Order: sequence, then C-alpha cells, then structure tokens
Amino acid sequence: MIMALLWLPFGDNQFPPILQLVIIWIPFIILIVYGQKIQAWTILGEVSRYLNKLKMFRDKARVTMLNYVQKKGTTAEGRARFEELIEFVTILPVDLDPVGIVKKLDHVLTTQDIQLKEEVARLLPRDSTEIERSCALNMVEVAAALNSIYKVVRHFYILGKKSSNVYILAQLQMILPTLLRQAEALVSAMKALEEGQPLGDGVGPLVVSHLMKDVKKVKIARETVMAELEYKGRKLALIKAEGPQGSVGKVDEALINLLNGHYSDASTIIMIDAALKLEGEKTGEVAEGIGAAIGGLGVEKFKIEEIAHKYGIPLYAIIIKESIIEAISIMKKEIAESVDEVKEAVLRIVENKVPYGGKAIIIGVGNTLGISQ
Amino acid sequence: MEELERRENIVSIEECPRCGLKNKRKFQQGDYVLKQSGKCPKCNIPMYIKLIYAEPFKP
Repeated sequence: MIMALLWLPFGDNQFPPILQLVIIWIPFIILIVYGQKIQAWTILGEVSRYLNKLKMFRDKARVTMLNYVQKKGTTAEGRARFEELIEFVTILPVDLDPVGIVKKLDHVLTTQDIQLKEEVARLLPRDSTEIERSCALNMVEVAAALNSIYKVVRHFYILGKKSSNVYILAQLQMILPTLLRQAEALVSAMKALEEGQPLGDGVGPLVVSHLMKDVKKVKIARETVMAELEYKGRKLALIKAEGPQGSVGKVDEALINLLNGHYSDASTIIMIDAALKLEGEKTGEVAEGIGAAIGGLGVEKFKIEEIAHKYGIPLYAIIIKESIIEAISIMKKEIAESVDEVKEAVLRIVENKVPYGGKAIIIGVGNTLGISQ
Repeated sequence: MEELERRENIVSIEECPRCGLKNKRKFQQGDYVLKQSGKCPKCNIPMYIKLIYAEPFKP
C-alpha cells in the first residue's frame, strides 16, 4: 500500500510526490529556518580548531619562557611573577584632543619599557648577563602577545557561540588563518630568543654592525651605540642599538643628540630598516627611497621627521622586504645575504649626496638580538 | 609543534678578515654576529661570525 502511494502518478510527472517532499521540500524548509544556525555550527567547529591551536601556541610560549627564566636561576616567587607579567597591560593615552599625543605616547611607552626591564632584572639573579635579561624580556613580550591573541579570539568565539551570530563568527573565521600564521611566527621567535639568534627585523643593525666593525664604538643614547667612520673624504656617523642583546635602542634620541651636537651640518640621514613586503614580492629584495624608515607606533618616526625638518636634512631610506612573519622569526638566508647589496647602496648614496668633506648619519633600525658591533 | 621547530637549519657563517675565506657551520649556543670564532686554516688568525641565518631544513 505504502509502495503504491510512493509511486502514485502525479499528473504528467512520474516522480513520486512523497519523495519530492522528502528530497526537495523538507531540506529546503530546514535550510530556510535553520540555515544560519547550521552555518554557525560549521564555523564554530572550524574556529574551535583554530582556537585550540592558538591555546597550544600560547601554552608552549608560556612554558618556554618559564623554563628559560627558571634555567637562568629565578626563584619560585620570581616564576610566579613572570606568569603575572604575561598579563601586563599598557593603557594608551586618550586621543580625543590629539595635540601633543606623541609626547604622551612616548612617555607611556618609555615608562612601560623601563618598568618591564626593571622587573625582569629584579626577578633574575644579579649575576645574569645583559643578553639573558633582554632575552627574558623579549620572551615575556612574545608570550604576552600570544596570550592576547588567544584571549581576543576566545572572546569573539564565546560571543559568537552565545548569540549564534554568524556574522561575528564569519569575520573571525576569515582573519584566523592570518592570525594563526602570526602566532606560529611568534612561537618560532621564542626559539630564536632563547638561543639569542638574529631576527629578520635585525637586518638594519646587521648592515650597520658590518660597517662599524673595525672602528671605536661609544654609547650615545640608552642601549644605543655610535661609531665614526671615514669614507672617501666623508665623515659617517653610524648608529645602531647595542647588541648582541635583544633591543631596538633609542635611535631617535641618538639622532637628536648628534644633530644637536657635532653633526648639525650633516648633508644626509640614511635609514636602513626591514619593511613589509607585499604578497608576490621577493623576500630580501632591496629598495631605496625617501623618508624615515622606522616602524612602531610612530613616536620615533615623528621625532626623527621633526629633527630632520628642523635642520633641513634630507632623509633617505633603504628597505629590505620581508613579511611580518619573517620579521619576527629567525633571520632567513635571503635577508641575511642582502647585507652586501645594502652596504653598496648606502655607500653609493653617501658618494652621490654627501660632498667631499661632508658628513652623513647612517642608522640601522631594528632589533639587534644576536648582532654585536 | 615539532614540525615548527624542525623546518629550518640555523647556520653561522664565519669569515676570515684577512683572506675572506668563508666557513659554514651549525649554529652553536652563544654565537652572535661579529663574535670571534675559530681560526682561519690559511692565515691562522681568528675568524669572525659574519652572518647567522636559517635555511630550509635538509635532513
């Protein structure tokens, strides 16, 4: 009887109406009513897998950092304090009235920098080296960055799950592959930090370190060194962060000190830095241009542009292209091997733009971990 | 996670300041750029580490 009903002819259409209902109409209605929920469940599953990976990276970074400081001789109390430092927050100044915000930002960031450095130095044994302290500090920063990424993703995951809001989840799903790549790079940076290996970001200091190899170095600003070099009748002032400990130094202050001192008549300032490449560009490609080549929140860039403008000195930039991931990972072969090409470019600019007997300032911008001078 | 750590070989490139002879070796803990490291087999003077970088993993 049922079989007969199933195969009951329906007009000219020989397809059984009950099967039509089951195969076409019921799924159609289910998709209309529950489509968004089904999509949300699918995305939730994918986001949940990403979240687990991010948690794994965060935990790995945390454990690596804690093992490192324990190996360097911190106490149980110190270890607990290091765990707390992962949650350290910096509240940026209000920008409702942007006048003077750079000075306020500079003040907040300098305070944060000093505070973290002092805290790490206090928690490690007194006989620990500068390199060990800087490595521990950089590891705290990386662990904190991974912790922050994980917590933000988890926040939106829970929010999307609670509200079954497919739009929140879809946005999260779209940015997660990029976030995961950055997290991977941060985790691999932990290994470099632990062993004091140069990062991709250190290519600027690397070039300057080769230029200042055989000349006397002096400290010119906090964690920043300077050397003077004679080149074909020109006087070159070379600036980089003090290595081989992990630091970006205060190259802006070093430049201000030089310009307010013996180099106020400099003909040119040349800045060397790693810069973000666009997809499709080759890693380690060198490009020349104009402007202040320095990243960060913009405080140093602002100060450098201000002082260069005050003295009317042109700013030349030499950038070495790399991805954000390559910048925070161990330096790649292609980046390291661009050093000779960058050196040639620097010296060519000096010959072309600085008259005989003139002066130039050359700044290597970036983290100088694993790079001495 | 292990894959992340095994994808690259970290090497130190030593160079003789006199004859420019280069020597590639595995990175050792404590290495840094411009550190004196080993002796040049030709000139018998200390070499220095010119570069430290990661290259694709070769088993």
